[in-house]
Amino acid sequence: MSSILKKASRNFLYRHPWQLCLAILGITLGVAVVVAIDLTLESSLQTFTQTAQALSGKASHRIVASDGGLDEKLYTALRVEHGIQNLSPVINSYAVSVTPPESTFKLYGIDPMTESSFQSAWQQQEGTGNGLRLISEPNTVLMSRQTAKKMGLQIDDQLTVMTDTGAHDLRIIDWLPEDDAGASELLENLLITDIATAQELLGLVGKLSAIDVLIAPDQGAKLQDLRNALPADVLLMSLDNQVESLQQMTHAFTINLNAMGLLSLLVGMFLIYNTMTFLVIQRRALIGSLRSIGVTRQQIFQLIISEALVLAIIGTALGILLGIILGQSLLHIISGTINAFFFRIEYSTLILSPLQIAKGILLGIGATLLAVLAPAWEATRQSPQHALLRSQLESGVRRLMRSVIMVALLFILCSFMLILLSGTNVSLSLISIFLLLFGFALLTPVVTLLLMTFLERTLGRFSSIVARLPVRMVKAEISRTGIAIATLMIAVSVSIGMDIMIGSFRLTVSEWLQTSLQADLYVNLAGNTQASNKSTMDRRLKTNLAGLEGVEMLSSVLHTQLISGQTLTKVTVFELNEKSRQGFVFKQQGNAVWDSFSQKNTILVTEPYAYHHHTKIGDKILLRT
Amino acid sequence: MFNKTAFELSQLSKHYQESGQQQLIFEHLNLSVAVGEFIVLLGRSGSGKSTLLNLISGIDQPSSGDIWVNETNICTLSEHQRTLFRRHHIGFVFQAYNLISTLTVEENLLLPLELIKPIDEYDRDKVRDLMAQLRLADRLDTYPDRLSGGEQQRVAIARALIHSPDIILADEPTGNLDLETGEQVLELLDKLVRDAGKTLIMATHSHEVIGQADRVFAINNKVLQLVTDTL
Repeated sequence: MSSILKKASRNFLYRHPWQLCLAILGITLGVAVVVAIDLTLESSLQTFTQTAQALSGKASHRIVASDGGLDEKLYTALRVEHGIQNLSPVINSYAVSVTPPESTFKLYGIDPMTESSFQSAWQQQEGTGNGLRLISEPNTVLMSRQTAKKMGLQIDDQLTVMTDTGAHDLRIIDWLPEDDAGASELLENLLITDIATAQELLGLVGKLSAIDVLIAPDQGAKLQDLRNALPADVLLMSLDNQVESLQQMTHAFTINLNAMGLLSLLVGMFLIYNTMTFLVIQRRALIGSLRSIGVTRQQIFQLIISEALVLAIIGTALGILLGIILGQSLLHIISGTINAFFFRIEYSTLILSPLQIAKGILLGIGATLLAVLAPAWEATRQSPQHALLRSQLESGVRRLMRSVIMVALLFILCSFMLILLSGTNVSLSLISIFLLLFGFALLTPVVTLLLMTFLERTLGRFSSIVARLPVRMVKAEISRTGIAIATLMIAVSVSIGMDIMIGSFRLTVSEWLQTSLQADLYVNLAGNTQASNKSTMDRRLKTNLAGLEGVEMLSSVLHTQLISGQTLTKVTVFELNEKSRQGFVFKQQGNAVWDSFSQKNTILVTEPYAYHHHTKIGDKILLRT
Repeated sequence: MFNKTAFELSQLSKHYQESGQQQLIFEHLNLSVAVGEFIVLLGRSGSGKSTLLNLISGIDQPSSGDIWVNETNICTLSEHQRTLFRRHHIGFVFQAYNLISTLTVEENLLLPLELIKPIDEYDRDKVRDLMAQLRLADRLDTYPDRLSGGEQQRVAIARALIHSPDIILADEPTGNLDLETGEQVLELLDKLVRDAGKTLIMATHSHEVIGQADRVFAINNKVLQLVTDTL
């Protein structure tokens, strides 16, 4: 394309810096929100899997039990009786340091003598020297240099930690190898010790948290042998499928956040469309002049598109940078939510992947080009003498109105049909909301025209010409005012929608708290539920509390995990008094449900459980204990 | 005096659809213009002078009839072909100058050349020479909005001539200028076009230009009438 032609267009943008900034801002904000949300969600998921992989090494499966933990005899039986060698016992719990600054450590008990092919990266770097010391020297641990530096500790220093069995002095014998920044994050606040020490420290003698297993994907028969050798109350989980199951768990959460990101991109696209349309309309005389001297439609189209491409590249680059900064701030909030509702994340670091950056680039450039297609086409559609007349555009827009109404009504109709069909499908529900938004956005110029006509007629009788001017201007320039009002409509409707949703959620939580919290005092019994005497001690404490003067009644709650099907299911066991029962709200049968609940082998399920597992009243659920 | 035909209009009619009704601009226009001829079109506002220029340049399409230029009927060309035809064969001078405000005077003149082929030093010399003839040699790096109306119209004339088109179309070229400047511009346009041996069709209200034209036509009551013929 002619360089002078390009310069003519470029100089126009330089002469209108505010419009240029507005267009770039639209792209930047849209891309930033999408990239920030995407990076944050992916980082949270990656963090979880990286932590799991760093600690489990190359394990393909994991044997777990319900909250009671595994009997270590199972490990011996699997190795000796069934001849399964690629096994690694694990103790996995938490300990709080008494030495200031107080912090919580993940205490990980391993078998240092496990086969090298089975070891995780840090174990391979470590060699066997420290492993032997962990076994032979009592209460010895490995920790990261970074964590030790924060706590002012050196090799051979003592670290006092508190567990269910009391305070223990641990001696640091060496640092965990940190080959990169990512590894140092993974190993932060982690104490590695040998399995026997961990059992003693945590009061879990004879117990294991899990047994890691290494079985190649092509050894299906070996896997089946292992499955057959396991007792019924033990679960063999595939670690390869773990990421997939985590993604399934956070599916709706991810979709909702992504939808919010896309919505911001949509508003950004409207902003780009508006700005680019405005830039094209402002240049109608320029375009007309160019066309009259022999510049073709294709050249005008290329000019507008290449201009938009440059804006898109600048806006997207800025958007990705802003998205990374925004992602850093969002990471703690989103990982907090994931921690609270889905799975535990030990630390939070934004992980940048080329795929996500490419997604941001594609979205930014794609959305900009999509938004600018209509103005670019509009610029080239007119013949030179029409391009010099603004009224031609408006009459063109008015001719389009009937088609726009039809498309808008079709969108709204499709949206309602999808809402009816979507059922529990989050993606379909979101598509229907987007269709509804688009439908109403398309109707906005028509409604604006009707309103302005009504206003004009009403004002016409009582007001001056000056008062009627703004109404006329809105009508006369509906190609721009209509889009601007539609953009504002989307932004306001989303804002009101979110406000109502959050308000309703708060109200529900408030009502739930008011009905649920019926007791005067709550006693939280901290500690590891796998500890051998924990259950006896807690029961004794309950009896003592009940005997105290002034204690009218007690209710107790135990949170645990039981195997149901091929997953661990959260189970809450209640011993409730009459008053506590008032805190329960039942979806279908009302309070009459307590009569059925008092019978043997009956359970209540939460609404989300029923929703995810398609459970109905009267269904049976097999729980292994 | 003139031998070769520059263009020919045959049974040319134009009407617009407005509010569902057909508005006839003119009908059955026939005209043959020779190379190097200076034609003036007179007529009241809305008589169809600008429409006729738009049709000759291929900007607009007639409702019926033909326009022959160099044995090509431009009415049968596609929009893209008509744009290319305009690029090579037509020079346009507008009442409102229509210079590209974001380009300097020099760039405004180089643009029609660059649309045809990459610019070389010969083109730049050509621009400088033409601007010197127009007594605007010192304004090459100036943007059009810094020029007076008369200067802008002189640049517009230079732009219409720079790529040596066959036909120059001027639509009210003095409409925005005062009488004295208008006369100077007309004189300049006449001289440059005649020196280059090009055909000039000028639509105007001004009767002062009649004396310089070879033939004068008027569009009255939707038909083309010969007013004067000095040939």
